[in-house]
Amino acid sequence: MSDLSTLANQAAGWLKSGGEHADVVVSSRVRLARNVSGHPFRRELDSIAQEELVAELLATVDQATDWHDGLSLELGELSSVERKVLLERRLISREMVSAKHPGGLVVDSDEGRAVMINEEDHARIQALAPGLAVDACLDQAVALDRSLEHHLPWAISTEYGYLTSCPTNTGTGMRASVMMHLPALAETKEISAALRGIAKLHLTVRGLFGEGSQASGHYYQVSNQRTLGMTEHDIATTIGETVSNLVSYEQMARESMLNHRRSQLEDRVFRAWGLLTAARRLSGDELVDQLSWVRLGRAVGIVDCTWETLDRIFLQCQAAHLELQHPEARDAETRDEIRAGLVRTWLRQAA
Amino acid sequence: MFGTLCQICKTRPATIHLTAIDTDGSVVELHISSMAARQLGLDLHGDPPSCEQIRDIQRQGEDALLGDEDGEISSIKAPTLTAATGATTLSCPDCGLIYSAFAENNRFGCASCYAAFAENLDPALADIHGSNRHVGRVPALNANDAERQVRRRAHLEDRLAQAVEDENYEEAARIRDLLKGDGT
Ligand SMILES: [Zn+2]
Ligand SMILES: [Zn+2]
Repeated sequence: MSDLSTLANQAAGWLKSGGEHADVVVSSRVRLARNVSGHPFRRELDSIAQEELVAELLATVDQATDWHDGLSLELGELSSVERKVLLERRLISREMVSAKHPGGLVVDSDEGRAVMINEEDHARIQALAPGLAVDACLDQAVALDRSLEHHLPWAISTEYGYLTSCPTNTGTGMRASVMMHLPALAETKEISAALRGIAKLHLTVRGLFGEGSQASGHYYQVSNQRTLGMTEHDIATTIGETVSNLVSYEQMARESMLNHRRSQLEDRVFRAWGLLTAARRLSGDELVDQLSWVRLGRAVGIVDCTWETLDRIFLQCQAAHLELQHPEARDAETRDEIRAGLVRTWLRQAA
Repeated sequence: MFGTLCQICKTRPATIHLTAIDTDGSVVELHISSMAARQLGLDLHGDPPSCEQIRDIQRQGEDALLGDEDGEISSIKAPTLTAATGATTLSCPDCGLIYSAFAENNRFGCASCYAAFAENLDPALADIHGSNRHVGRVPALNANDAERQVRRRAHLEDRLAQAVEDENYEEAARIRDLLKGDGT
């Protein structure tokens, strides 16, 4: 991988078929928040000290990881579109896209492992994988942490564990999150019943797209809320079991749709298919909505199309990806035309 | 069948219904889950909120409650953080952050802040996490696994007792599994 446009053109390692429960679980992620001992947290550092820290951390992480073909980026040197591409690929946070302070990112070639530098904490180690793979992500993140801790003395205390800028991360500094596709539960309105027990387990759920409106696209993210007083393994187990339960509720809801309302479901899926293969303009929101039905249709065998194609559309038709690959796509209308064109071409090739 | 969904998280049933009449006679409504109310720190026993307050809650909720793309809800504040009035004069010897500024922003200035604010921190961390002691990994150089295992079991047992007392049986069952499974 030589630069960002190569990255934007490739399939993301975390968005590939073949993961566990891939028809319901899109991807899993674990991140660990770390700060370097002896340096104040970011908010208390002036901009020169932050620049020095970013340069030092980029160099150290590069050396410690030795990822051939990965990327090592100073975010300040990127355009706003390039930073949005990294956000769309889940490699940096929304805060880092518009941040005025310096920041960095080191990522391996298939985007399975990354270190975000100088976000709220000095370093955020993350591992991403397709499907339900919280344990595997945790192993990856811990291995990465092990290789970094030889070079970087992390701020830690016996009582409180890893010391972070925000007390909601203190302890393990661990946030595990799983992106799920729950169209059948959402459409049958059983989602609230299915999610009822989750708060008691100290997990949170948020809709992934269309915040503020009806959560569109039927995507949900389940994350742990507590980071202290539990081991990393316990956190991963809790979230893994909860997600497995949600997977079986979703599968039951899909079965029931197929058994009792098959023609309604087929109608909805084929309408989405028709729209995506015929439309001349597609907004990002409309694509997410319609693609969700096609994914469901693919999962239950109503339409035939490769998962790779659906994943590719999901990832590469996001606004910043289009803008980076097609410089003429700067205004929304042109972007909608280009998006519709790509979706038509890719679906036709895959069908 | 499941009633209205929480207007903030859109996943849990709304069990709290806030209503106020605006000056022009229009009705301002917000239906939210108890989880949302708790995380937004709503005082449900105080006066009913005004229209403006309801609108604030709505905005605040959409901005903060859902967390960032990481699932991190950094706006969760421990009630005990601001309640610790006796300690507001504390300051960190290393970065100079004063306690009241920490309580206001919910952010530490440096690692030494933890020790500087320790007396208020224990109840605050317990509010946020249900525990105020780390039982997870430490860097290899600091590792003392046997000791941490003992501490972890002790904490899980405390939490189990608490969950049983709270009649939170799902949590209790979960902790029992963790104690039994002990794979770490
Ligand atoms: Zn809610
Ligand atoms: Zn300090």
